[in-house]
Amino acid sequence: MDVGQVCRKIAGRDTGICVILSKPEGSLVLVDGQVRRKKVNLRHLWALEQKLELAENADHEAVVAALKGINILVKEKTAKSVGAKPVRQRGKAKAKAQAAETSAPKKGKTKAGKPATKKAAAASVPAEQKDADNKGAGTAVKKDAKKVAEEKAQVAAKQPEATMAAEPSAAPAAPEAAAEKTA
Amino acid sequence: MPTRAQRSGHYRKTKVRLPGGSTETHYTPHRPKQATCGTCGAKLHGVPRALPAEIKRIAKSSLRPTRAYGGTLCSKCSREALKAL
Ligand SMILES: [Zn+2]
Repeated sequence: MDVGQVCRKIAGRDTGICVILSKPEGSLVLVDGQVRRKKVNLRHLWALEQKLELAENADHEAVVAALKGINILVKEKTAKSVGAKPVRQRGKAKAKAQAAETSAPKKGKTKAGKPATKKAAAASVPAEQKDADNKGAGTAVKKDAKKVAEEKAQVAAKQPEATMAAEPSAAPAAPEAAAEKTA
Repeated sequence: MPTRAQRSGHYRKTKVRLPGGSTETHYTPHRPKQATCGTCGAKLHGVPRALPAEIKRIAKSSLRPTRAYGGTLCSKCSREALKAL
């Protein structure tokens, strides 16, 4: 187990492939890679066949680059942004908060506004891009298909009414015309 | 006579000697079995043997070891599984 030995961590919270970066101090070695950079027990490591040429105590970036050379990718973790804890309100304060919520404008307006913007955004996207997009385009096309179907249904519903409305007017007209002809 | 629900096998019965000298039966729900390793069948450490209602109250992090395959495999079997990856 020398510096640069590629290992898999098999015990503890972290799992993944790592590189040894220091000579053993007793049973502990410094590791880095897909796991947190820390000293770990040699018993918690499982040596793999690969070996990298790395300096002792090499940087994390150097380790990541070296591991990328043997097709092992290291995902960088981003720190979570922890906001303030919500404070439970009781009694008068709760009543005040509820009153403020009720007096505030309803969400319905914003909800109604959202789809319109989405539609506008979908319309602005050219047809070629729509085809390129996989999921979003599919839903947009489906929505269009639904709209078309609804419009057709409305037209179909209107047509019989129109014909029905036209026929009675035509029917009385026909006898009159016939009467005129006879006269 | 115990109630109808108490006459089922749902409860564990323990006889308790009271201070007055008489004995009484106490009815307590059966505890679930200890969790075991999925590969070798060994009893798992760090997994509470609690009733579902009690488990609801326990934090998720204290329901199993924070290790790969924690709460499913024992430590030996999890090491072997990780070596075989
Ligand atoms: Zn096991």
